[in-house]
Amino acid sequence: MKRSVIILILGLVLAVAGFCTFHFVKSAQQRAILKQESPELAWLRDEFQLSDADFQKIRDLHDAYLPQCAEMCRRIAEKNAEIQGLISRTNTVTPEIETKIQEASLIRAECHKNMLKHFFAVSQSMPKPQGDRYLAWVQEQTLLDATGMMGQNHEGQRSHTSGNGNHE
Amino acid sequence: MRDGVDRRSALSHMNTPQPNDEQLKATLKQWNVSAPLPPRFQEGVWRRIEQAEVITQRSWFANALAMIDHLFARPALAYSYVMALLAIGLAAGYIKTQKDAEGFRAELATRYVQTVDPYHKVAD
Repeated sequence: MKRSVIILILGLVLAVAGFCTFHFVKSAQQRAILKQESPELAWLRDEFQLSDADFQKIRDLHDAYLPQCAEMCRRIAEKNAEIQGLISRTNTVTPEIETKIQEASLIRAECHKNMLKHFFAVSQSMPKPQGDRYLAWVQEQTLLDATGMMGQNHEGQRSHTSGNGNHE
Repeated sequence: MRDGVDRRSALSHMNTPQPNDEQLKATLKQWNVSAPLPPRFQEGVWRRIEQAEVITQRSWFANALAMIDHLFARPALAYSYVMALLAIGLAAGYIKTQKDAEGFRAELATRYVQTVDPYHKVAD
């Protein structure tokens, strides 16, 4: 009886140990990516199978783009706050509100233009197949998603990035 | 076949009244049991019956352990059991890792989009 109980427990312990060991070993790559300075860029490199040279170019483009992006964020947030402030003081669409909304539209157009420039630059820094795939995916996640032209949400972002491992 | 026929005829013979039965009956009537029963005899009999029932009615857990004990007496089965559980653990680890990896990639993809799209940041 004692021997049987020992065998029973041994089997369960080995099952748990096997599960934990396998999971720990296979998730090592994820932990390594999270430790990096920019995990999202590490994901980009892995997802699009970038060489060291290509990745460095894209990293430089990304670093140069970030200040522009931050500035746009500031302007968008500022404009939204202005519109929100005006709306909270009235219950009709005043000429002032109309003006602010138009200004917000101009900011959005400028933002989209800057984004598209950056996406083109990044896609041209990759080999063509990866670049095309990157361009299609990132547009779907940003420009097309924002305008609602395709009616897609953020859940669709996996559909273009599931090609990991299928690169040339 | 002949033996079976003989047995059946003997049994039917036993169940039909015979001329000697009257003599047997008279002899049996003479048999009298005079020894008294022990005190509380019936109570003791019922108590022994209850105890015997308790012994034979083991819990399901005890039965299961007994069955497992019997199975693991064979080394091949015990070894197979351990290896099967190890394989199940590894398979579960593989499935969990795959699911986690998919969620991880999706999360990082979202983070990348948030770094390049101000409207994603503003929305969040």
